[in-house]
Amino acid sequence: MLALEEGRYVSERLTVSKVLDEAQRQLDEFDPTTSGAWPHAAAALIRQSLERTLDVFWNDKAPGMLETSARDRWVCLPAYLGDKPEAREADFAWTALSNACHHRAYEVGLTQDELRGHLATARDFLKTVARALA
Amino acid sequence: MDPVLRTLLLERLSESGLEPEARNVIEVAADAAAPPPTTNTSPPVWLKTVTVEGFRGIGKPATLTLEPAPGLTVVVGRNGSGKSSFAEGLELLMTGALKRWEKRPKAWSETWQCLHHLGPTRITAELELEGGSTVPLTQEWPHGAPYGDASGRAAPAAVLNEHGWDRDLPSFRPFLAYAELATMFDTLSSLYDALTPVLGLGDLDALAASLAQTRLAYDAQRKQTAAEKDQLVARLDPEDERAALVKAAIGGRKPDLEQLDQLLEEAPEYTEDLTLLRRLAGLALPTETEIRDAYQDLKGAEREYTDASATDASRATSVATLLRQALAVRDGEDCPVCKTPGVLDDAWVKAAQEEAAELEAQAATLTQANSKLLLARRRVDALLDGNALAAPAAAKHLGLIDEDLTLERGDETETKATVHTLRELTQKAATELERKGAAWLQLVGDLRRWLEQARDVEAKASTLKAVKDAEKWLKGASDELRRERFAPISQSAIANWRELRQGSSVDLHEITLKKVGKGGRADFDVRADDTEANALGVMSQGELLALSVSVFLPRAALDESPFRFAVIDDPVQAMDPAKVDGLAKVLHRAARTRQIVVFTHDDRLPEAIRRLRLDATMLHVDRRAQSTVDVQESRSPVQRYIDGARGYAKPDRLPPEVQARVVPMFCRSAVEAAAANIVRRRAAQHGTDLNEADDQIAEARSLRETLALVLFGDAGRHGEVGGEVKRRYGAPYAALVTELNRGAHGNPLDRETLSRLPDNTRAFIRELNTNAK
Repeated sequence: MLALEEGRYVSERLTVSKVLDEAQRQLDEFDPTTSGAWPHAAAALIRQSLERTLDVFWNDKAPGMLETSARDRWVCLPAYLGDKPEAREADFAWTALSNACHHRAYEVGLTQDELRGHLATARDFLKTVARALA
Repeated sequence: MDPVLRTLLLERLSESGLEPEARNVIEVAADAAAPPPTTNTSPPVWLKTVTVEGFRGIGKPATLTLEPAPGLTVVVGRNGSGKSSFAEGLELLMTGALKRWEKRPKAWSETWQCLHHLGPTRITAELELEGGSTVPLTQEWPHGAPYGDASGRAAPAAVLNEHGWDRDLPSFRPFLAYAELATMFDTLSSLYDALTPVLGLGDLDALAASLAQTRLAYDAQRKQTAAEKDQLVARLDPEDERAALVKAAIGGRKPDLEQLDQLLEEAPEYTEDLTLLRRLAGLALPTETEIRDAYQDLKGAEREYTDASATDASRATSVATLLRQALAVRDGEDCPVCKTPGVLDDAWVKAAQEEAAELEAQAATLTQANSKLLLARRRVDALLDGNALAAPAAAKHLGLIDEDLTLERGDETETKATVHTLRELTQKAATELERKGAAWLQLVGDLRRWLEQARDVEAKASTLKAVKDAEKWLKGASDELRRERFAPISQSAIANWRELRQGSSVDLHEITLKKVGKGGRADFDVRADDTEANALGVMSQGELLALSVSVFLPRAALDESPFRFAVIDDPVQAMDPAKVDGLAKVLHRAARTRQIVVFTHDDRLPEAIRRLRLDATMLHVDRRAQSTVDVQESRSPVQRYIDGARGYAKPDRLPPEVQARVVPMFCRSAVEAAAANIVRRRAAQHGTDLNEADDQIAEARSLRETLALVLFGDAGRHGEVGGEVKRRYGAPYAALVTELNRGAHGNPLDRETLSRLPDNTRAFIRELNTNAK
């Protein structure tokens, strides 16, 4: 039901890295039909990937954590993964993306560069977690 | 001259291909002309408290208490809360002025005292020196006085002066106000002016100035000598042969000083004309008496001669000879010629003898008169010598007379007139000689002086060239040194900028200090989207702010600055959210070795700091009615960890196995954060290297290593931590350290121990803080 890589959990329709590829496509390709909506779409996809990666980790280490709040799942992460910069960056990116995914009357959305940064963070985090679970 | 700079310069010099003389010029100038070394003896200083009363938004005394150690303190307060009054109060107290109020209309500074305060305005700051002693700084303004009122300035000024801080304030201003943030780049020369003394680069400028001065002095002398030469050449008489020679020697582009010297050495008589003139002026002419005597003599001789010549001298001589011969040949009384006998008797002999003697005397007298006459004639002739006779021709040649002059001397009167004419000629010649001689003498004197000067210039010509070469080399070397010395600041600023710029397409490539004329400016090589064009103009307000902070922080971090604190007022305004995150990181990095105090009006910066889990102290400023200002400390990182531990220690909050790991992790983080604070504070107080302290903290991998730093000042002694904690604080705390380690490394603690862990940790930290200071 959860997947990190294609083939490991075949029930999942899209793997995390495929979701990230889709986010990348949103950033790279100009599609007139998504004009104006693509930053929001990309942000949602990246955030989704981060959450899935995190949940895959907890599912393996302490499935009880999946019952707690998303905040707690991030805060407790270093206790199992170690105080890794990749984890810190992922937490940071997730918070920023969460803010961007919610409607804020005055706040301007994330820029393309910022989104690319978060995308890279998500890929690094995926790698770090995959290594920790291997 | 700054000794380090001097060494750097001389090293470069020895590797340069400069001529020895030019090298020497720089060495001498570096030793002599440079100002005496400025020894920086002002002691490093931290900020302990700022108390403000009756100033702007603050009425009753309010105190901002700070930790006098490296670390980031964020003072948060809504607009109008009075937070900026602390920042500006401190700036006013330390510098005697407010950057924000400079060049503003009077209305800005008129209402500077608090409207709700009727007493005097008082600002106090406590500065802490290494070793922990405190230096108070206080200034008071009477109620109603303008802010520039100097009546109370003497006291703080004296304290600042006593420690040498007043000298360092212009270079290392530890204040960055919002108004300054925006205007930092308005005048690019101000940054150069501020940074040049910091880097000791003023010495290079002074060195260049001293070389330029030497060159100008040489040049001025050279030009003066050339001008004087022109004047001398103009004075040379083109008719005068000597002058022509002198002109030939020095008139050209390159004066032949040797030839001139030779000309001046030689006697002045080396031209025909002057010899002639001299001869004419020195003509020997007879006096009136001499002429008269000579002519009288001649008359007497002529008369005697006329008298004597009445006799026939030759006949008398012949007759006398004949008689003498007749007397000699007489033999008897008979005449041998006519044979008349007896006529040549004794009487005849007697008469013949008498007659012969008389005839002989007559002939002698004539001969005498003749020779006397000749002599007298010769004397008259000799009245005018050859020179005198040649004088008319000479005088005409010299231009003293125009017409030919005939010397009449037929008689005494004519001779006298001629001599008179000649005497006039002589006088004319003498006058002319004197005129020419005096002018020449003057000229010779001037030429000699000029020659000396010209020789000096000639001798210095190579020195002048050396100075010019030295100047050229120094300019290049200075540019390089300037760049080198400034590179750390530039690099650090660039690193800050890269952190801060986030989404900005503007990249900062280099900041260089450039010397322009007598001043200089800071050049920012900022490019938008990698175009070569300078992009200062296209930068947004927020980007300019970020750039200002980027440059300000490295300057504040310089070792040369005695100010270990830096106060930044509201850098967050106009910044994008992403930049605020970058700012938090940049400020935090600067706070590793400096006490960074940031005032901000909203929650974005504290929020970013919390999110990024950066170490910082948060203070909240609130302004109540009547301008009463409150300062409250927000939760410190240590407190936040403890609170987190307490929260997660509650039952059912997390799966138990996760709880067993997370709670010790938070507790351990709390101890580590507290330990890091202790190590930094200690380094600040003892004046040890703050970078080293920061590195030690960063390198301490485990809790035990961190504690070993606190207990022994040596992370390597982590093995002794347990025993030392037991000895100093008791066995329960030694057990706590073990529990913290165990729990965090996946050895589950029992429920009881886990629930008590946060409180025990809190108590342990308290012990560490009281004991380890």
